Amino acid sequence: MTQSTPDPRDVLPLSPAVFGILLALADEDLHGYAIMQRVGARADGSPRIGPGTLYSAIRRLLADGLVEESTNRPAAEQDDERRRYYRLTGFGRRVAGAEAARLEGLVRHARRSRLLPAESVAAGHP
Amino acid sequence: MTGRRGGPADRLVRLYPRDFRTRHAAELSATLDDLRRDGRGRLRASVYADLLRGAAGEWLRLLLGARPATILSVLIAAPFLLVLTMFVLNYQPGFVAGLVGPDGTPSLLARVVMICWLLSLPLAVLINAWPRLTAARTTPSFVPSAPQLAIGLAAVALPAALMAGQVLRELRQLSDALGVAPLVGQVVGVLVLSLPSMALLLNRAPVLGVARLGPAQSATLAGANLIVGAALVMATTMLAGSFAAEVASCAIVGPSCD
Repeated sequence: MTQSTPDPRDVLPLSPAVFGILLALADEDLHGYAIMQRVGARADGSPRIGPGTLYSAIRRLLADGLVEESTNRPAAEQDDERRRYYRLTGFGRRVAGAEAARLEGLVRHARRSRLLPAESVAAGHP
Repeated sequence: MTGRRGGPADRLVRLYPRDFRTRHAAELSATLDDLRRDGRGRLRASVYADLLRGAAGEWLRLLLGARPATILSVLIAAPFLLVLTMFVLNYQPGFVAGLVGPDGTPSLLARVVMICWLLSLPLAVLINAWPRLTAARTTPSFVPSAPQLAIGLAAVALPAALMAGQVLRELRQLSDALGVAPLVGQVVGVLVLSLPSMALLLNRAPVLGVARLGPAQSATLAGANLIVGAALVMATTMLAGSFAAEVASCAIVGPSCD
């Protein structure tokens, strides 16, 4: 029996919350609250996803194989044993990349449609 | 809003389904403690709202399966539930007249419907087996939850059992007319005995193989799997119901014992 590799495009588009979680996990393994803080820091400084939204999304991401539980934990005195740490799987990383490329394509389209300034103008070049 | 440990927010966690709590309740509780610590002992109202919304969403997911296959299963079960309701209420709408001839025997249309029903069984097995036989790219991976399974079985099994006797009589008349009664009886017997175990293997093998699929692939094949499940349950229950109801003193297909 052949075990084929799933195509990341099959799970696109991602919701903003799910994409935010995948982005947060792109750099390092994190527990739930750290994910919330990371997502909030990338937006306007306050947590943009609540705990209920976060863990529902994590359940789905685990089921779909986009994230997995990590065994890398900090020293016991800095840790809360109730926490679980998560990391991106290879498939999750490819899905996040595919979603970023999809969004990049939308932004390019918005520039061509003059909904956004041209890239050189936006970057401050004459 | 106060957010003490063991307070309203922690009670809201208990509203989540058990499978979710088993997996995430401890870490959700730790996260609430972190939020309280950073909020100087208080939780924002949006946290409570988010927990409530999350619990409702998880229950909805559990009850509905959150996949198009659920809608398909309802569509499969709906006609049988309709028949059951009509039977219970002793209600005979106009279109039933088209299914029953003047002498009370099933019309041609009714016979076609019943034979299609029986043919759906091997067809459903073929649909389910196709990806394995052809090493197709996608693999069935739908595993219903216990409540989904119970609701589905109940919805399909009861009407099927009620209609079992009638369908068996149809089979018997057909096989008598064709003069192949013993052969039909043996084929039906083998199918009844072997198909459920085949279906079980076909449905569980991907799980044992730890297949990982995206939602789009899973949803597509979940529909096929549900058709298989519904057809198998209908056929098995129908034949088992017949056996219990009237075949105890007769062969499955033999001389008429009406």
